[in-house]
Amino acid sequence: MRRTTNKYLLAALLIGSILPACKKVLEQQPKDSTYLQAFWKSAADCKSALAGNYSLLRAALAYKQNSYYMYGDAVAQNYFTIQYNGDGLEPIQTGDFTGAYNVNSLGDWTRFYKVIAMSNTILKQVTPLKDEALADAKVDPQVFKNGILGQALFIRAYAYFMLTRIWGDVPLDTISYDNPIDAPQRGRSPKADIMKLIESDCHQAAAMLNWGYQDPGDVAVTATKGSVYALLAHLYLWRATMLDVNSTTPNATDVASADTAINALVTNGGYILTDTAHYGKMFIGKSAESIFELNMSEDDKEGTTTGIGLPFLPTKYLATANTTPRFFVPPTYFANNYKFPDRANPGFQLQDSGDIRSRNNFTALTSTKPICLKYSNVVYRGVGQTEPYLSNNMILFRLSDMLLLKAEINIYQNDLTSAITRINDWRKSRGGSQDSANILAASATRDMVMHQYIVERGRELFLEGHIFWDLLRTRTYGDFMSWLSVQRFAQEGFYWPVYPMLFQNNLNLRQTPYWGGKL
Amino acid sequence: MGKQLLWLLPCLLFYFLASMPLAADAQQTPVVPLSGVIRDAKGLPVVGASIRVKNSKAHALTDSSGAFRISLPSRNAGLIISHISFNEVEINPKDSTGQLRITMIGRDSKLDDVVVIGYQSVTRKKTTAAISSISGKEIANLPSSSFDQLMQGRLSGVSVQNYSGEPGSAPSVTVRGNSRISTSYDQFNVVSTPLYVVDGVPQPTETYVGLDVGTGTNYLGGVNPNDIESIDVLKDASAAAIYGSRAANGVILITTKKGRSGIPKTTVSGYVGATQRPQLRTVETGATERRNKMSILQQSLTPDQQRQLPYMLTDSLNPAFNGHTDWQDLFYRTGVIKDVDLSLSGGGEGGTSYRFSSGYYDEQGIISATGFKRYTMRLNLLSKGLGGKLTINPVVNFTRMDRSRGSGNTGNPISVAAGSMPSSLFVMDVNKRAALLGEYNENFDRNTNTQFSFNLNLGYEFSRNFKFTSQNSYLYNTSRRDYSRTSELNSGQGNLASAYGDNEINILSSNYFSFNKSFGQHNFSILAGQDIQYDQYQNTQASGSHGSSDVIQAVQGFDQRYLGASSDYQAYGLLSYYSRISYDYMGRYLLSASVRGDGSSRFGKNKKWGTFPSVSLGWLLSEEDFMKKDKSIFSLLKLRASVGKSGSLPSSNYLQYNLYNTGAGTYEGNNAATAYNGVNAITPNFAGGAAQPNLSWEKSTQWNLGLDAEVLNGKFSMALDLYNKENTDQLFNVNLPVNSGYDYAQTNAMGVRNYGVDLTLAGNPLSDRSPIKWFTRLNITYNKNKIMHLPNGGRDLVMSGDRFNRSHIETVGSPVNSFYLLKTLGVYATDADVPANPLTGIPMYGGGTNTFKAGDFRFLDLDGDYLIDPFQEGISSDKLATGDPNPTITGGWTNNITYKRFTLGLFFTFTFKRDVLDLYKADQFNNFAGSGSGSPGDLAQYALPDLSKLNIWRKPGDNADYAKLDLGSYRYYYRSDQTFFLTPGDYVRLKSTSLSYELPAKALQKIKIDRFRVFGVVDNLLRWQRSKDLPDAEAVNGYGEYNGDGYPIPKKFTLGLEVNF
Repeated sequence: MRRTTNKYLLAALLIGSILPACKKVLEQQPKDSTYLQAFWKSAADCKSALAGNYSLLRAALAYKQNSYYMYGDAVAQNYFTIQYNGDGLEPIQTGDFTGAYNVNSLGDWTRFYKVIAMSNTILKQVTPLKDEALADAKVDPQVFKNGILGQALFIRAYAYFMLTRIWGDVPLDTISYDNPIDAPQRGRSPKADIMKLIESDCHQAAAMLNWGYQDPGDVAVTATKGSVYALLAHLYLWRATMLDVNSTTPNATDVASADTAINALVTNGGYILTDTAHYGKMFIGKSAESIFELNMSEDDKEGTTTGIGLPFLPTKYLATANTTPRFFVPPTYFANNYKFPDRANPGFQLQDSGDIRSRNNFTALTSTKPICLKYSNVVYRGVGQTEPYLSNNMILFRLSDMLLLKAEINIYQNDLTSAITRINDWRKSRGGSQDSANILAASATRDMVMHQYIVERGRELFLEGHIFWDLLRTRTYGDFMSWLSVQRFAQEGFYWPVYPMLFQNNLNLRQTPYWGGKL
Repeated sequence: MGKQLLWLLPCLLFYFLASMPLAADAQQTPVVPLSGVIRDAKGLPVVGASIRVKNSKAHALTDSSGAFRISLPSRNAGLIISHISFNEVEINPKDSTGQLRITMIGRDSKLDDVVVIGYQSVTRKKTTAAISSISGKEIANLPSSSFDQLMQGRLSGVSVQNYSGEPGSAPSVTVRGNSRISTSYDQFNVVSTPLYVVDGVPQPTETYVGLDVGTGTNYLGGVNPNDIESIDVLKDASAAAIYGSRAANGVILITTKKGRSGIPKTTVSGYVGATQRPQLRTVETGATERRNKMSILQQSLTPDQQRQLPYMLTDSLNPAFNGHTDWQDLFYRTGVIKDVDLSLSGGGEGGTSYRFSSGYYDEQGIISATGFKRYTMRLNLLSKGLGGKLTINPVVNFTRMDRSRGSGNTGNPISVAAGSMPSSLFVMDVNKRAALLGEYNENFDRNTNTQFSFNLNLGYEFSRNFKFTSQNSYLYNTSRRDYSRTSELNSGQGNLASAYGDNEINILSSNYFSFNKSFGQHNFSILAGQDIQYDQYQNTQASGSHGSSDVIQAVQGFDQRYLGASSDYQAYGLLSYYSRISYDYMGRYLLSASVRGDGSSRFGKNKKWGTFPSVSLGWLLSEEDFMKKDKSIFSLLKLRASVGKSGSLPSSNYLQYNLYNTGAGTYEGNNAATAYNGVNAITPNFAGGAAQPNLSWEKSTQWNLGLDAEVLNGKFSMALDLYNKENTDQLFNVNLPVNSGYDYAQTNAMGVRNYGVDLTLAGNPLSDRSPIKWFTRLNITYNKNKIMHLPNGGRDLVMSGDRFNRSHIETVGSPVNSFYLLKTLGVYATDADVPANPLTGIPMYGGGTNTFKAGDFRFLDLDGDYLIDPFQEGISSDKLATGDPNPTITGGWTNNITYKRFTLGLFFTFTFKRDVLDLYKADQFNNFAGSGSGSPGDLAQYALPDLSKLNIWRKPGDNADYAKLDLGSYRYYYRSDQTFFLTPGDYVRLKSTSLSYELPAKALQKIKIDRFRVFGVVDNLLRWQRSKDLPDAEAVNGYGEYNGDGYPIPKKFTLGLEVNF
């Protein structure tokens, strides 16, 4: 009997001795990636997260054949032409945003919310970091931390600015969710609230960021105080005229704020206008004029195979190009922006071919399908001119844009004389023809000045993602495009519809009013 | 001791009283000596048979030559001869003189067979669970690269579909239906797979890399089918629950052969044969093709367009375009298949035994440069110590598998997609042809898997009733792929090389106590134990491209820009406690209950542990007195019932961690960017799903009702099971609010129900006296599956990642992966047949201004809006969930007919009630229907199906089955998501036909050979199927799609022999 007991005891001991050691097998940490609990421990982590934030913004704007230009330029109709190839993209140029492929891509704002969520995450995770954790920053930890937080705020503000320009009212979220399954389904917040958030984010960011760059490698492709002011200037002007589309008088306070922002930027930013000789190089990137641009450079192997410039290029400029490039610049663009009446031959027009912008940016002007060469810095990765990558950064803000906005501010402030001077000087500095027909007369009316202002922006900022917003803001769309009627403008029919799949789980979401029942 | 003596006294007394009259009787007649030999049906001696004299205590045993000697009390005394493997024989030797010759016939009854139930084994008679079993003999020496393929049709409740005939690839195996739901298309992980347990060791069959990255070789190919003693499938929860968290989709237990004590035995077997390609799909070649294509062009093109006809069609004299090649043919060949196995086994005193086996299998595929080779070695030693109380059983196994993979990819072993084969007219120059055919010789693609395992099983008997077992195993698996392509095949961009290597260790220690005891009629058996398993997987891969020399076949000397490298590390642990109690009363009323608790490293702190209980009852009616009374024909009649819960583990090892996305610099235009402005980008995994600390186990609750019957001592038998299996809480991605930044998070949301019937009927219909023996067994499984729960309030989920027109949907109440199709009603004969919207007068249209016209397919306008949605990635208002891609009825029919020394085996497998979407057919018509201005060229360059037998719309008024062949209209007549391409997937296949002959034992004894058998096997000889379109109704993927790209299932002819000495 005793022996049996011993046996059971022995058995129990056997099992008992194995048990405690076993529990460890249930704790297995991943080694194939970093994770929330292991990240956010150093300055290097913060830098990588910020690079992630910029990458997401780049991904958002490069998506769908560079949506940045689709929203900002393609829909403005007469600046470049997308030809048919079966994907159904071209109808957006005639104001039809309902195509299935367009509404599921350009009508989908999801990618902007990933940018915002990344900013929110950085703000949440970096704010509580102690100085000791940031010891590897090599600069004052507080300065470093402010730099990270300020840039994240700027990126968030920029993403919201894109959202509100494209859709008007959009969901607003500034929370980084510990468990995203708890996140509420947000409906659309009024655009005034979105703009208020952008404004306050910018103010916070401006307080945290410095003018200029510590590291020359960061020039233009990371945000500084100057970038924030540029965004603020755009926000103020947009809000001044677009918050209430039926108002004809811009909000004077906002206009004044825009003026202040630009003045501060010009005074303190240290930006230098590119001269005529180096004009073309500016679009490759990191120029002294650039205020903020997204890095898409082959120097860092970050070039693109679908860059905005590539579909314009024929084989001469792009070895692998199709025989007929898909995009071209329509002759109307030149008629609208570069032609002026020929006094010698009434009824005929002259082309302003001396303008550096015309000379640098275009070729084959006399053909039916002129070519845009503004972004044609093709780098071949493969031998024998194969695997082409476009190595032109995506420029979002530059000094010329800011200086031209000053003319718009002058107009809003009824200072037509200053506006006229600015526009004429500008055109002259770019080598524009000094033929009196190509120059605004001092007696020009507000409408004429505004028209020439847009002509000048059309020359300077061609294919830089601005022109459509300019046309809306200045109400000159009627002069340059046909699909947007006054009624449609009044109904805010320039905003994009929302991709219907986004309504699937979100009962709080409503379709953009103009598009209700049209999809 | 005292007590035992007391018992002895009455016994002795009784003995004397009882034996008195007999003794008196014996004195009256003299004792008759008798001798004889007992042999089996094949003439081999039956060793150890027991011979008893009726009404007497006299008995004897046969010796190793089958001979016996016994003294009969009288001439009239009857003899009863019995043996565990044979039917009892009763004879009266009265009339015979000299030596008796008795033939014993193998026992039909399987009641005393042992089935493995996980950690224990029980007799079939006493099991209360639903278990299907086959013996290794059934699958030995059949030409197949892995045993899972051989299970097809042989086990009820198990559905095996060989999607691919590629040597070394894995079939899909489900036990009682598919419960896996995913809305992202993955052709190779469509169905839920069971847990495989080899000699008590759960096998790590997880894959961490895509089949095209690693070797893609079937893990289970590492087990030599000739080493298998038995396969037992635990189908219901009461059996499977002992494997807890991994048993929700059934457990397949493989027991390998062990040594048997006795004189050493050597078996050599082998076969050699050929594999042959099946019939090719019909295509038109040469002049017919040209003529038909031209007629299509002339019909569809305007005279203006006809001025630019492709030269290929118009210039028939051009030597480059006057071929008549059926390109499919180029890729095929006749392969050779070889197999040799050697095994030694034996044993000595004190329970020591050994078995060593070694095997070689080599199958050449029917497609050039494909094949599979396997080398195996297995050693099983058993020794006893400490007076027989300690059992030491080491098992060592080593397998190497080599696989050649052709020049295509895993989905398609050929370098050209089936739907876009080149036109027969092409006469290609040598280089082009080499490029197309993959120039296999210069390509280098080596895929090697090695599996090493070492098991050390220890047992200690504390007493006869109480035993401790410790099973410890160490598995070490590695695989390696070396791949290179010549510059020519990379469009002259330089050579490419890649190398991939991985290794996995899996350590298991399983320790349990078992205790058996009977108290009167109450019999108890108790098991309790603990398992700990740890698995670690690592891989490394490197690749380079744009190289400078085809001679370099390793990753060496490539430009920095074109080098890529990565490695991975994955690990998981599982800790388990389990117990089973079996109880029976008088051997009639059976009860078994088990419980297992599993802790897994894959879950977060709060949900690490899951509990999986089960209970089952059995009632052996045939043991009841009322059944036994009037010599019932039932040797077994058993009712069973069980209910239980098991689980399933998620495939991701680090679910609980919010894994970040490193190198996250990608954007449209640069998928390889890792950085922003040179700084490595890291983001939370917004697109890959958010981590969930509270994810829990997928559970499966199943009940089962069973009936087992056996009549006439096993002459006929039946097993019938009804079951219902509810899998709930399957992990699924739910979409998260857009404003959270995350696309989805996993939750426990899905529910699938599988219910059905398993039936096995077996019998020996011919009379015992018939010279022909016929054993027949029919397995039928009827399984229906149904989605019960979906996340987001049961909203339908349309599958993504498959074809452009999404053709599968998950919807509550329908089977898993139902087709999502437009209903084709026919073809519009004339424009006037197209219905118009009565409100607007606009004819039915397909988006934009694209109205339907004569010759278009007519689709059902489900929502009545006169618009057939041209393209929808989500829910379409005109599409219906139709058709079931899951096989509903599957099974097999085994027949073994023996006459003298010949045995003929005929084995059929079948699948009924399954729908297949013929994407291949859709692709062929789409080759030229939708490519814009390039379509005449497309029509010219691709192979054309035989159109002459098809009723195609040609002119207004035609009542056609097929829509018109229109060029470049972008109208997508032949969109694949329509019921027009749905075809029945039913088939019956004569899977295996075998004939064997055994040489007479007598003749062999002279040359010291015990057994000599020659056999021939034909695999896949015949097939009957309902669909006229499909080349092979079985070669269809798990989504029920046929796209023509798979590897056809070959016919195999082999001849072999087996020698025992």
